[in-house]
Amino acid sequence: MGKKLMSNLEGYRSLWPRRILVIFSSLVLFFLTAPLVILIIQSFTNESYLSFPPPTYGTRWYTEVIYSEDWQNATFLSLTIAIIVTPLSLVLGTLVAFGLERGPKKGKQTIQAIMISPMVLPHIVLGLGLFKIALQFNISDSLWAFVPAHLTITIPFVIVTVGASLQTFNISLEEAARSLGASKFWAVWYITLPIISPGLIAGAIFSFIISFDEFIITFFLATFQRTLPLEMFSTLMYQVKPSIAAVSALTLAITAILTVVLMFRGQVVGGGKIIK
Amino acid sequence: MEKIDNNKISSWWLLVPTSFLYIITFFIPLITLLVMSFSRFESSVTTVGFYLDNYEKILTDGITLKIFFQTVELSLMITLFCLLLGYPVAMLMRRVGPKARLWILLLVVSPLLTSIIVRNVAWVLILGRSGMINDLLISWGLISKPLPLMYNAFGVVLAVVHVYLSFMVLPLFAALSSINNSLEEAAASLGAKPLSIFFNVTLPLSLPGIMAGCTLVFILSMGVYLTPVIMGGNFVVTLPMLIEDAVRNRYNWPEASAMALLLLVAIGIMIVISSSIQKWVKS
Amino acid sequence: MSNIQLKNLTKKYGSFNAVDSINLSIKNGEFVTLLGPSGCGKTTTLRMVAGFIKPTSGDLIIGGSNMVGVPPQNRKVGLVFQNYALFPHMSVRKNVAFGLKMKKMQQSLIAEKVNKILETVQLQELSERMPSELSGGQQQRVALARALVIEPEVLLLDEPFGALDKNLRDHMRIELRDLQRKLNISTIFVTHDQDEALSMSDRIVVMENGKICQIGSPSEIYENPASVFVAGFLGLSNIFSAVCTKIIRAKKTIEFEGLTIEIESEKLNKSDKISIMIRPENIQIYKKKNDSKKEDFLGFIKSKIYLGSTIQYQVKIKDGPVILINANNSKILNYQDFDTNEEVRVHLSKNAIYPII
Repeated sequence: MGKKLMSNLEGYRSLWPRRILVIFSSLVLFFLTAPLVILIIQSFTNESYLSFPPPTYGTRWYTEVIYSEDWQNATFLSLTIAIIVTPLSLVLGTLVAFGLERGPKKGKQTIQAIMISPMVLPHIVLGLGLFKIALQFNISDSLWAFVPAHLTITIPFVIVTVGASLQTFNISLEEAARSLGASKFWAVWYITLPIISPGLIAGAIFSFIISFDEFIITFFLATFQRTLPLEMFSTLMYQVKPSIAAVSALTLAITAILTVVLMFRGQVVGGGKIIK
Repeated sequence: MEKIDNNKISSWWLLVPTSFLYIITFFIPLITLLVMSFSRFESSVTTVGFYLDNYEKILTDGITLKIFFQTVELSLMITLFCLLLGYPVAMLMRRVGPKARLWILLLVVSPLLTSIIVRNVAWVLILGRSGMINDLLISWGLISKPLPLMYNAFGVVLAVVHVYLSFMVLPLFAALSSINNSLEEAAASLGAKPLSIFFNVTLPLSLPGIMAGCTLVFILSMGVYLTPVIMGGNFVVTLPMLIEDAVRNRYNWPEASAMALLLLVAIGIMIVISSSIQKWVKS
Repeated sequence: MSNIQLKNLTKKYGSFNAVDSINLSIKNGEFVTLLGPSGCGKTTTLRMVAGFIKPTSGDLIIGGSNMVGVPPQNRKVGLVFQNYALFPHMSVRKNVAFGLKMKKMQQSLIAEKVNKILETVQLQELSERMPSELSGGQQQRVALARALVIEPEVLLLDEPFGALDKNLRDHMRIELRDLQRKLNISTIFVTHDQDEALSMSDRIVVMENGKICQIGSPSEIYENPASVFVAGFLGLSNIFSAVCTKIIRAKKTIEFEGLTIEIESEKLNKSDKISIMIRPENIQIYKKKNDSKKEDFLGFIKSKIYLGSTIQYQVKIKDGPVILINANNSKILNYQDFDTNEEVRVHLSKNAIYPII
């Protein structure tokens, strides 16, 4: 009996199914990451056309992009929107997450579903509706339209990430702080927020990236203004030039650097070690 | 013992700022679309009222409905491919140690750090007429004419799968990792072969994750606009593209609104189907 | 004069009375335990004292002033949680200093006070460690130091030993009680563990369904329980319903489960239906062959459980009930060992039988 059990367990852990799994998964992961690597390599071409591998390497397209006024303006607009949207989205979403977690259990699910519903609404539909409203208020093609529109799609992500952190947060930590003389606000400030900082950071990263990369809603709302994705799109529709690869690599770098910085800052804020 | 504490209701004040924003940026736009979809559009003039013209048109003109079903078909295909590619990765993530798991997770979510447009550009550079693959194949003398790798459904599906695969792997992994290992070991100890363990234990228990992942990817795919435009040229047309065209080129808001609502209905049906499957699985 | 008074303290959730009109007065430096099964209202009471739950009615007086409506941060209570609730992102020192920092105390004064309390709980060497780097016992000491450093009027302990293993728990019990005596701080201790309650308390408050069943010293509660519930909740006991059949002055004859026995009690009247409690350790058993006294009962050993310092027997008394007996396993004190199914004599002395009226 014991021997049979062993041999079956061995069979369960036998190498072949696992090997196939590893090989297949590696291919999938390659499929996920390779295009971006190829894109970055191609962006360093010195030719006037794209090819892989590039015959000669250089940074001429980066130079061109960086000194191009169109790209500068687009990058500036995208960054401006994302930098306004991220903190606002973090504050508003965190308030909602707290309200849901600390509010009555009854009705929580329904209200939460409503608060995160913009997440499952196709952006084309939202963009269409927002365009109509923006036209009515005569604010289309301005930050007054872009920022609230972006907030609508970023806040649900903050609610989800911060909500998940709050759920695992042990409320007695906050109560301990209260009994030690901290008011509700300071208890949250000194205890809760630092401990749920992974959720806050994730929410901030999501907000920034979603806003920075948003295309279709801004596409509807903008007439003359161009964010980076809009500029890339119109360039792409016109011609596939190496400059588009260089811009893509640059935006990739911006989001990657920002993510790393936020994660690192989060570590510092969180005081390092967080026990489960 | 249900605790009803009036103190807790006051927490809902924290929802007020966001609710206020949502009213303006979410609920009013949706209601506006609903109203618009029943309005009449005649010689560039929109008359608000209760007309079924737009719905009649999109359901009977032959082309809108066809494109709608094409969009559904495309979305189902994307969902299926995401599931087939994502499931093994999620399974591997569950089997390996915590360190390897973190690395795989990073690779899986890394495309999320780049915009859809960047990822599409990458595919254009790979699959295009003078893209990497055709370039290499021609220079090796394997083909003489470039293969049509994009500006067709293949290119669109491939690029969208690349964009949404992460959204499939994450819920799958969550569902798989909540399955107790000992269940599979128990099955193994009863003499079950790996493949039958997978089909009788692992797969059914991960069904909630499968449903969550598929629903999410399907919904996202239904609304996809950018990738078909870039990867499909004008050869793959989706409902979102029709919506955009109706508004931006023809200023026909009522028709665009009706198409948007058709899209929402399709998504609503998908959510109902998936939640009823989940309920059925639970019982 | 820092005493604590709970006057008709009540908490209702809808129609459910979580805590039902509790009255309790705690003297300065007294260690009072709220004991009861889960859901009896002990934790709700503690949380009302701490200020996390607002009472539906009643008063709560700490150090002479009514605390109802005062938020937790303005009550002078020190609270130790079941899981200690140490701030995971702060070092031991910062955890302990938190309360003083909230009082906006001077840095130098904070350092001085923190050092002093860390010394008291013998943690000065670990002061720069993070909570996750401490053992369970050390974590508890930090929690205690953090609660005590703010010099509260009352210390509240919510099942503080739940997360410790048995040996450490016994050790921490003594340590905590010594510290509490030294600082002479009024303490309310919530537990469902009777051993903790008996070994630590000046007084025990036994609660059930939101009400107080009995208040008394550990020995009072254990030896003279006011109800069958209290008797059953604290320690092992044999409880039977009995009827008083005969009275001759203070000598009362009672019958239970087919047995007749004479006890002495002031209050019993004829035909009274009562419950009687017999603690297992107050029953003696002897080998059958020893010369039998006439008030002894005959029976046989139904089962035997070895518990180390004692041996627990279930004895079926002839024409009577099955009775639980704890026999001392001391090798020097009239030690006797019995086998399963062995016939024995059971001695029930008068003062072993406690009537619950």
